[in-house]
Amino acid sequence: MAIGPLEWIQLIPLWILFVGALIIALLGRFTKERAKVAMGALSALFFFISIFFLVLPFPIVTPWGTTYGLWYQIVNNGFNPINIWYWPLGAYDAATGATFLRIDLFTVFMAVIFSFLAFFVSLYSIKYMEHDTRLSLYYGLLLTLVGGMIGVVMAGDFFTLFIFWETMSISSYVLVAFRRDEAEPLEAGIKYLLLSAVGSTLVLFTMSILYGITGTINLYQIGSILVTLAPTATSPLYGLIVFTIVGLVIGFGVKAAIAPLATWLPDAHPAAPSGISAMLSGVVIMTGSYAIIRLLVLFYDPYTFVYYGTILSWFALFTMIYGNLMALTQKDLKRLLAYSTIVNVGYIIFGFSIALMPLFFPSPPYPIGTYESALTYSVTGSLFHITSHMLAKGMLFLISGIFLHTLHTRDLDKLRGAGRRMPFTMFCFTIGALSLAGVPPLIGFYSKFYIIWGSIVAGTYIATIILVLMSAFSVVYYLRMIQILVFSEPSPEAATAKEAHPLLLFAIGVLMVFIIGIGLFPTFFLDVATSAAQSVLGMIP
Amino acid sequence: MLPYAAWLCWLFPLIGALLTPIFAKIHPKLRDYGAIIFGFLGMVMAFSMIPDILSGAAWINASPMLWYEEAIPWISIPGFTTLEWGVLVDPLSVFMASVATGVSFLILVYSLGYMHGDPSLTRYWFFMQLFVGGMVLLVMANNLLQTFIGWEIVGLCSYALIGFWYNRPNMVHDDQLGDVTEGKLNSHSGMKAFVVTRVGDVGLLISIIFIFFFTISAGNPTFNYQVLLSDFTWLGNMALILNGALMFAVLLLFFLGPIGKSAQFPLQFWLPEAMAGPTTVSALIHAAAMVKAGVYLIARMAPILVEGFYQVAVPIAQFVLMNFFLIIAIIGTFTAFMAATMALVSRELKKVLAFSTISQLGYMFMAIGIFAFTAEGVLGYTAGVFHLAAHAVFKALLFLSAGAVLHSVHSKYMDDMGGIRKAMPITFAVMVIGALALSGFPPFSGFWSKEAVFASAWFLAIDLGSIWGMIFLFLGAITGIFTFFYSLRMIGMTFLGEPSKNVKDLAAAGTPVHEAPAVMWVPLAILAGTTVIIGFLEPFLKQFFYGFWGNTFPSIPHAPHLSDLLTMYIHYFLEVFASPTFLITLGVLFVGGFLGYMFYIRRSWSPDFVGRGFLGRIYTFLYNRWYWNAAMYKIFVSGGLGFARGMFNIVEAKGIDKFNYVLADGAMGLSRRWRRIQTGVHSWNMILLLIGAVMFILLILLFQFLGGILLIPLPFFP
Amino acid sequence: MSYLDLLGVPIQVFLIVAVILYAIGIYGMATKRNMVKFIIALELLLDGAHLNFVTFAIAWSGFYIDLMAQAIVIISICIGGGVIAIGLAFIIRAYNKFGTLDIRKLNKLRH
Repeated sequence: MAIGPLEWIQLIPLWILFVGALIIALLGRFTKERAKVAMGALSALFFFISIFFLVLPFPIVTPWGTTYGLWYQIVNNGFNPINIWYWPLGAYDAATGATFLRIDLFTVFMAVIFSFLAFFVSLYSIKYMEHDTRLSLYYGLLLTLVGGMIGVVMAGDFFTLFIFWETMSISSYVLVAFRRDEAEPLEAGIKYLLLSAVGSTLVLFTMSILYGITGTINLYQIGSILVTLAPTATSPLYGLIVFTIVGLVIGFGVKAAIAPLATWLPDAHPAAPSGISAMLSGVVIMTGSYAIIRLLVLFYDPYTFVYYGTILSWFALFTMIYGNLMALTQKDLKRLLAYSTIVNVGYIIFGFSIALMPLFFPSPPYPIGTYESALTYSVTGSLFHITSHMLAKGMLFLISGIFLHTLHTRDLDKLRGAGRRMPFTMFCFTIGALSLAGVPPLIGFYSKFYIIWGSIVAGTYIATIILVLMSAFSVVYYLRMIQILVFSEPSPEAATAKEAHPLLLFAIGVLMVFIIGIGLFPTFFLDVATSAAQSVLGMIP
Repeated sequence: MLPYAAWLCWLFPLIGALLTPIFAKIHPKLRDYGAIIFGFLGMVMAFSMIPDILSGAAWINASPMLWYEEAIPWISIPGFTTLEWGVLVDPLSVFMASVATGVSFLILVYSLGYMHGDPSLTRYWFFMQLFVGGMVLLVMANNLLQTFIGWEIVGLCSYALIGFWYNRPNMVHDDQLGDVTEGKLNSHSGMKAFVVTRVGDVGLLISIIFIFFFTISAGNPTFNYQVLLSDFTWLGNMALILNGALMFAVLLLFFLGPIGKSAQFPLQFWLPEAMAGPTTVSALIHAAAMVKAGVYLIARMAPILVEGFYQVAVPIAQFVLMNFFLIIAIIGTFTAFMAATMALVSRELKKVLAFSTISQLGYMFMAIGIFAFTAEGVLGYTAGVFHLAAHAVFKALLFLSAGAVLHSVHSKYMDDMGGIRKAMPITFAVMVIGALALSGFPPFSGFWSKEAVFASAWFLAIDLGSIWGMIFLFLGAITGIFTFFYSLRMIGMTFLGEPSKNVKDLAAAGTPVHEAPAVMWVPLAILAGTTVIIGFLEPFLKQFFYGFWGNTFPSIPHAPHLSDLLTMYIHYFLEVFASPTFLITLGVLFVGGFLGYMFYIRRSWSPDFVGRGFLGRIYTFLYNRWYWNAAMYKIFVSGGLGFARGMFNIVEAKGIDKFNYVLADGAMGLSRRWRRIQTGVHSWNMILLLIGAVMFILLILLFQFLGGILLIPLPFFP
Repeated sequence: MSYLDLLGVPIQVFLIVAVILYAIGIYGMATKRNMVKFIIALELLLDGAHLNFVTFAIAWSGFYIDLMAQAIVIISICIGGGVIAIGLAFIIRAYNKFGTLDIRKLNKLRH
């Protein structure tokens, strides 16, 4: 199954972004950076094409034959994943070494989420970035950022994973420090780069050890080899394999912002331009969570390598507590949102960690409590929470950008009462904050509900209590933001505010509609998330 | 049925509501006419479902009687149940949707003239359409939960609309009220309506949750009406708990919702004050939307419960159900009587109408309560529902024409009117039609419906020999006498006699009383015409509702032929005019009409003699609305405030508050200390990373070690 | 039989050197203040991983060398070069802006 014309067509969602980056770079060069609107619109167009070919519901007829969009083909092919081998090297082809993309429902789910937010960020940036220069760099890197992320979720081996991981990372370093003449982005960029690079090298080092143990870089073969190598805790390689778990969790955990490793996040996310903040908080860190769940599920059988899932869940709980305490007295709007991102990462990682636990007590009091269902609910919850967090946090960062754009401040003291002058913006803000707080008719409620439900079914009651407590705790600062922005007397700065440009409002408005709409009718999206969860857990082929 | 009509009939008003602010930005005219158009579309959709009911196209199954429904999955709780969002197309829902959309469309048209020039029209149109949408959602819903959502939308809109002129002072220049229970501003009335109906809503919600809980125990968690109707395990299970006491409590709590919404005793006291809003709002609340929701919900549940009576072969369940329906009828009858006596003495035009609404709603509850006792259940049921329809039309008519009067007289007191018949001939004519319909004068709609209510009570009293039936019949007849009396009083004081000082002042000031503009009187004329026509529709309505009792009435609904209809009509009218209740109705009309005519039309007798002595005391008692309002305020508002203040001083200030401050300060302090972790120093970030890694390794080692010692796999979350 | 045996050096030597390289890199990252030294530490971190890969590639090879691992190393060197270039660019900017190479002087963000 080498890569032929039909595969190229199927892979449009991936390569169109890199081609697009090239086109935008050339456009920037030839128009001397004057075609700002055109570059933004082109970027949005490429993201749209990417989503379009991902979810295309009908066949594509070409001179070489008929093919399908990725989603359509997977669903209609009995949920079988698509393998695309792109670089079979010499004698070591399919068996050990060949590099391939493996696309299943989880992959497509994540890819759609990435491109979806990037589409609105592109539209938003047309207006938001209009006074900046070097926009070809901005949009080009935005495209390679998303291209890298889609590549990460499509990767079937270490080689592909690493290349796309670094593509994504390098793009994000530059984007964080995009406004290079200001002190804050530069400082944040340096700290982000250093810590993140350490994480990347740790991943690379762990990969080398895993390769050394198993002799393959194929993600889908390592797991079975590891189990045969170390069937019990007394096996000679057991200790080394446990160290690789630590390496992967910590290495990817830097990007995923697990608690003690997340110190870069509150620096980097606020310092970036707001569109990029939304991308970083909404989707980029989710690739870290993706890598953790995908690799750990594939590599380490929870009944052989016993306790790492439990420990990961403790880290997740610690992440929530950490973020909540940090956010509680925060004065800077974007920093507050960044800390709340850390809290939500805690939720997502917790949902994933249930799937990595050996569940000894499948909770008899619940008629529905089976092992598989606990895994499905919690991972579905996490995937749904990735969606809900992407929508809400992406929107909140875009709104904080609007405040920044109109009032030139992120300080909550100076933003007092600003929401009164900007009713639509503030309405969206309120919806997003309430969704993150988990208020019922909104999407955030269902995602949290599923995670908590999964944790109950799994029988981890103490963790459930902590989850609920932390959820309640987080309401404090979400309401505090709303209270400051709406119910305080306007500060002198805020009194002059007025609604921003319609394009900015359009971007946040659509996200707001999705938050409410999916909240009202979550069933379809929950079904999709459930299928994706089952595909990552290997319950459907 | 037009495609998706069952969905669109409530979606159109809701979409219209959401589009209103956008339309308002474009052009005010677009906003106004957009509301009308969306109301019209909703009405078309609702009406388009009527043929399906009549032809039986929406009819699915005979026993149990099932009708067409559409649903999409809404919330799925894995492994447990999937809650649906659906619509039910059955006689009751289609009937209610048609009445609600039809009447409210006319009210919306009328608002164009009535509300012209108001500065907050965007808010007005938004809430009016949301109101209609919520009401139609409520009636079209196929499950209790969705109905409850609509129910709450209606409640919210009532709050917003009753207090629409929220900063306008409530004009109370009334020295006779002992306690001033109407707040200083109109918004107080809105809040009162909201709070009082919420009391009922809480009961309803608890009851719905209980019903859901018992459907879980029956193995089929659902809110769906038709599933509830198909499988009565839930009712059987409920009857077994506490020897039926729980079931009785759940049913009573369920009834509390309709009591609040439909303003029945003991929660009737919010409705008279709900007059503070614009007259169109009053019309909508009284005629089409809010108060009808309560009757609808009881009408919706009554067949289920009656079916359950036969299906659940537990004597205690049957006993409980019988008593429940008896309570419905008793409360309905008592409320009808009580409100009618209040209407006798009211001085405000709209308050007379408000009391009459409460009274007529009482009739409806009476009929539906009686329905459970009559073997041919359809008798009381159709009577109640038909009275609902008739009342919707003539009450809208009365309110809108009262609005026209108020619009030109600038006072809400009937003392300030009088002698304006010449000035407002059309309004006078339609209001007389409405008043006659209200009092049940043949051949207007009220006559047929009220006669049917009496017939059902007669059936209970005479054919079944029940003492309760006789009480219902007696009080119902007394109420009928009062109704005609106060209708004539209202007409007489408003339009006839000498012009009052206020009317003369207006004429002197150059703004004499004038006829309403066409946009206002055309809807009135349509409503008046409907009032006349609708009376002849009762056989048609019976046909409409036969479906509910497909198992007792074997006649399968089919497309009616004209000859069938004619035969039915003739048969029906002969039956009506030969029945004893016809004589009762005539007697009632004669007594009430004679008194009213002598006092207020011909004015041979003066009503002044009631001012003194025993009659005076009764007058004061009635005028103060049986002191019920005052008592409620004494107990719940003043008493509640006192209790709250006491609790505040003792519990809140000394206990919880202190604890709260400790908690808040503690959390804030902890947060401030915690934030020192984030130093911004790169080395420290790296060290934290290493700490994370080391902690992970140590925890793994620890767990492996502990597990090795204990030789068991440890569950680390108990 | 692999090329490693021909070399006559036990595989552990290479692995220990790789771990030592990595540890030095971590040490440098955690303790130094000069930003240029971070770049050097980063390079050491990468080299540790690369050495590991190359060693294992030879250890797993029979007659053929495992080209995939070699490819990873070469690509990773390129990527590492990119990361370091960006890092250096940031550092130069920071030097122009703050007038120092000490990362502790970059302390605007510390809440």
